[in-house]
Amino acid sequence: MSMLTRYAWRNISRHKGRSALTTFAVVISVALLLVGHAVIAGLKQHVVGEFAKQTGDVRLRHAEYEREARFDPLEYTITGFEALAADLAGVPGVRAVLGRVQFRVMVQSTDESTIVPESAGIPEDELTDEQIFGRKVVEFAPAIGLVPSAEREVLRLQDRLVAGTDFTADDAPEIILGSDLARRLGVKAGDEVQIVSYRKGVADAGAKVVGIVDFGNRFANRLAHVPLGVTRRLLDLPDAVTDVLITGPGLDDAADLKARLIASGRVDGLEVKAWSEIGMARLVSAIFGVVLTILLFFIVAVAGVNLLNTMMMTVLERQKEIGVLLALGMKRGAVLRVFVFEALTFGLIGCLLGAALGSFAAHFLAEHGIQLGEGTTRKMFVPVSNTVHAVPTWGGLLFAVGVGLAVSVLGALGPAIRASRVQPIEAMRTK
Amino acid sequence: MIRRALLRTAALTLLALVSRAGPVAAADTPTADFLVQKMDEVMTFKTRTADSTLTVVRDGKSETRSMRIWSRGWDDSFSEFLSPPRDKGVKYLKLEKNLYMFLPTTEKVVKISGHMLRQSVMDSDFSYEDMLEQRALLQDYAATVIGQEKVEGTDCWVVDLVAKAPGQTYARRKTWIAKDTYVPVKAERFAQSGLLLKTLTMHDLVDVGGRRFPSRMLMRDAAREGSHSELKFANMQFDVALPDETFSRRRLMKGN
Repeated sequence: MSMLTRYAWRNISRHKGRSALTTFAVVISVALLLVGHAVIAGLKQHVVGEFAKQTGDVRLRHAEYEREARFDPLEYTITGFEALAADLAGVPGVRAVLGRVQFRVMVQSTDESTIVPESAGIPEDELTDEQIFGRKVVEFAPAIGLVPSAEREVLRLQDRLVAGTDFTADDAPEIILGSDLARRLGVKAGDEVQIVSYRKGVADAGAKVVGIVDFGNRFANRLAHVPLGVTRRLLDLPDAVTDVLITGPGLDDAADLKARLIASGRVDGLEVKAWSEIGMARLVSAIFGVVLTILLFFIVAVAGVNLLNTMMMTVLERQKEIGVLLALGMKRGAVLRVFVFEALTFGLIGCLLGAALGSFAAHFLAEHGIQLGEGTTRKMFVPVSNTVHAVPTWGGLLFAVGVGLAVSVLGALGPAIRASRVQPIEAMRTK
Repeated sequence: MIRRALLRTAALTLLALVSRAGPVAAADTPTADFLVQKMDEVMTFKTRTADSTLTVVRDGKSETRSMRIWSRGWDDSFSEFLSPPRDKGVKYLKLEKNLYMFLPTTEKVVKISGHMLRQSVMDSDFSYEDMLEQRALLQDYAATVIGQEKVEGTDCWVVDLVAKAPGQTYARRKTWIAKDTYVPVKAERFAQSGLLLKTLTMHDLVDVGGRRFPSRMLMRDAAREGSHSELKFANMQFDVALPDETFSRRRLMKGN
């Protein structure tokens, strides 16, 4: 074996340029694979994490609400939420139970500086609406009624604040607006707005804009966040919520948590879904799977073709030499092993260098992040930060090195088999 | 062969004309414009005050709200909700085609416009657009008498009103006008596609100040399954003196 090793190594060093090019192809492929894997893992973790902020690990809804959700069917709520939450807290693995109300609301801002006082003595019919009522801006917006203190661990609005503060209390007449909504209303932190609901007639509440949040996403930036108590009074929904969010040990255990909740018999009659079963989550997972597959395909194709080309050239150039070796009694298996060893050497060196380069790049992207561009993230259905950080993992490293080695060996196998099947007489005739 | 076909076509056309003209004898059929004008006269007043209840029945549950209404012609009206406590103090002011809502909790006024007009009034089958309706139908609709029918025992002319130009809330209306009182006892409102959107019926005519006026209206919004809304009037008074301030925007903003 040592003679074969030395022979193979001599062949590699004989064509330094070509060997370096082949190794370089493996280095780049492994590094790209490693970085690609880390970036996709980071993106997936980020998107799934953001998605789970909307859904919890497991989400409960009234079955009819789930079916008619796009029509905002507030007649199908989960009533007796507080008792249900206390009950569910006893299910093994449940860490927190949160109630939310999804609804649509009219938000109105008023600039009273345009009002002409009655004392000015101008007859009413000479005054515009702005001069009597003030300049008003009205926006219809999707809203979430939530318990601020409970959401600090889940929705984490505090991380998205671009102005003002988080809610000061759980039931204060306050509102946190998405940045687009705030811009349209022309309000800033500290201003007052009026929120109006048309459910069961008409009801309104005044609210102070305590904070403005930016999710880097146009859908989330149109949201209004209102304390649950204020929401319930506005909508006349005492003790009811539209969504019950349950968090457990982690997103990977969501399916088990769902099973335990169902087995407990405490969620009978409700629609129970793990985060991964909810609308966009499936699509997100599928998209990442497809992207990773496409990336893998291209990298494997580039590295494989390059290696195949190099090895085929080597075999063709060394036909005569192979013929002589076979004539001198070298076994065909040994010829095969020589070429596989050469490929493995390219692969090993390439994988080691590629892993080093890829790891460096992946860790750099983990620390500094990748700018996705506001134009891209704003259009996504799930709030995605403009900067996404790569997540390098040992799994990703092993995957990249494994694929690099496999491609190196498989790419060389064809030419190696061809070399081992050469007829010595014909090979020696080769010029 | 061609002659036979022509004769057949002529016969069928004649038959169609006869059958169309059948329920309405040409000699004693008033014109559609006359009927609509008479209807407008009956339903129009200089001023009116009334106590009213709005009952919304949906999925077997009913909710009643009471209010006081002041009206000046069809253009201006002011209404104040008196109950239930949740809605007490909500006021609406309609000035021609403008509609304002005062909400007592924040003591602010909301001008209802744009797509807010399609919202229902107090969760009822009436929309703000219905509230803003102008009476002069003939300005915007072309009327045709299409027959006569009985509605709950009342003989009526059936008048078809088709919007003259796009942009009307309802592209077509079919109205049953009572032959004796000219009250529109039933009105169906259609979308451009021909889809029935709403049905309004008027009941319980009462004599007030020498005029007969419906004291109960029933609206059904076809888009709201299992729902109807009833608007009942009591203590109606017509042509009473109302100060201009009744319909004042400043007064609305003050909430009194």
